[in-house]
Amino acid sequence: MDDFLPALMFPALFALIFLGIPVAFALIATAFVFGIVAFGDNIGQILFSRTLGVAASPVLAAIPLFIFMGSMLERTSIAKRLFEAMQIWLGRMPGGLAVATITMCGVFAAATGIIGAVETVIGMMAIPPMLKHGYDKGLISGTICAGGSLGTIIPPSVTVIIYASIAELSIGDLFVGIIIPGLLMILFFVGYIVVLGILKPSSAPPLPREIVSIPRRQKLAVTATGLLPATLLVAAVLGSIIFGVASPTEAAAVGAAGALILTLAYGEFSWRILYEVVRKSVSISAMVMLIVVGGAMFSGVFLVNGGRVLVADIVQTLALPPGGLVAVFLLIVFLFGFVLDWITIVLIALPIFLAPLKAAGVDQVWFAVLMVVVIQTSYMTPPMAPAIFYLRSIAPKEITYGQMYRGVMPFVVAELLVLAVVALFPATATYLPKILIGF
Amino acid sequence: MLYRILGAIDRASFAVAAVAMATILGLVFSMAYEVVARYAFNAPTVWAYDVSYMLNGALFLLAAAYTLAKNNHVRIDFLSARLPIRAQHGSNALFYLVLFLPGLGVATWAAGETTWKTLLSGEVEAVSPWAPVIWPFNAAIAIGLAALWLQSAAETVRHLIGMRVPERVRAPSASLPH
Repeated sequence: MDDFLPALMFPALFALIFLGIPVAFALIATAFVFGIVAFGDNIGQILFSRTLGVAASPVLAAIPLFIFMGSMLERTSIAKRLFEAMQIWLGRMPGGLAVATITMCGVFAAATGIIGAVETVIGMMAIPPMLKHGYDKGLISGTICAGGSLGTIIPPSVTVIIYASIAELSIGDLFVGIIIPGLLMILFFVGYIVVLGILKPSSAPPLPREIVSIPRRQKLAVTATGLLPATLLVAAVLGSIIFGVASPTEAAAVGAAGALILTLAYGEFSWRILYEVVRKSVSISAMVMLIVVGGAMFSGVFLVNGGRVLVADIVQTLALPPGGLVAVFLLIVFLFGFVLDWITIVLIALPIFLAPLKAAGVDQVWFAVLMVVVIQTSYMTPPMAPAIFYLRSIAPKEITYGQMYRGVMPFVVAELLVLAVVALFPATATYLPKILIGF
Repeated sequence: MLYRILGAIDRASFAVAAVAMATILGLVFSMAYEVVARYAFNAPTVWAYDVSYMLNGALFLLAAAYTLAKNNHVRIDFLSARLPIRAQHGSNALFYLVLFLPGLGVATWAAGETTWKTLLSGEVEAVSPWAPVIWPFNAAIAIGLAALWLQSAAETVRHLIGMRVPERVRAPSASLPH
């Protein structure tokens, strides 16, 4: 009977979550009830020490700073300026507006790292012009969802920071590890749009010449004020992490201060905006971090309660080769992704996966990158796709759910292709960390 | 009278979160200062490392109650939203009363105890060259947890009211922070 107990934690947790209880609270309560069995009167001290462990993590301190940076940039005109600059440079390509949207998402995702935020900001900006120029509504939906999902895989991503803190990996390694897969993903997205634009120009027309061709001086000005500051900020933050100039937390603070300076430089600063940004940042931080606390309590109680042995037994019974083990774990993550948010997935699945993966000799950075790609894919795979729910909340009524579901599918395929490439060629994930950080 | 008390708890949660808002600015500037001090003045601080995690730990716990008051904690409510509204309030109230308030309660109690002990002993952070006393950090965690407990109690009362008169309180489904 005792062996059975840890296995019951999952149905209990899911029951509470699907009753609509806040996820963080459901995790804490499940840990409390099952923890009483394992720890008796000590449970309070155990739950507190788990809270303390998360609160005292120097790695996780980067999270509120990146959230601050993202919320600040969201309030500036930087996304609008980026979009303008990208249109000027890429507008004449087949599918020009959609290509501009994806590339802008790439840069903006690098600057914010919060899923959802990227998608809503960019969606509100890019949907109206694409509708106006006669873009296919499915393509519009797919472009926005795919671009928004880049927040997971383009560093610095909050998902990756939480992953690194649980797996005890270096944040720098993981940030560098997702660079090639992230670029590959942008490339595949853009590739699909361009091919569609060539084959069916009516569904993704290039922008008319008169919109794109503006005087050279103005073109330079738009680029200098729109593209350059954002790119420099991102390069400074990532560069200092990658080359070890600053810890991720320090780099995040520089990014946050940079975002503030940029707002001042654009003349868009006001105390009201600062207050709103700070208020929103602490709310999102509390929301994210309390799930991390709950997850730490939950996995701690699960593993101590005999979950470790249980998982080891199951893995042993399955007797899978390492590749099969990785495939099974990724499938579980993909299915979790339909119903759970990404923080919860990382927090409840990863602690269980770690020991068997280590025993099977699976490369940690490689698996991390695969898992991040899978989380990102399940984020926009119908029928249960948070990406589409976010889109629905900002898209005009004339775009239907049917068009959205149809529209995201090619992009889901592109993400699965990236997954296949990383799975077949682990070097795409592991080579850069080795040469950049290995010395 | 009851609604006055509930309103007062909401305001208390906001007051605690206001400290968190100041803390996040402190975190930005202290970390940015550390980078400048190290590279521009060649004089790294001894406190930056401890300050970074302490401010982060304090700020998210201090903001947790306010986030609940705004109903911004993530809920997966695509199934539960189909239940009758009274049943939604009922399941939330039951969850708070039976599971969450006791669970969070014992954790908060332990946090308070630890704060008291470290205050009396004057214990310092052992692995840090700066060696700050540890109790203010523990106290921030204890205050954050206590505020969250109090806000949870207020939410419990709201759900109990909602079971009888759903119109008088807001619906349980979560909203995104904005």
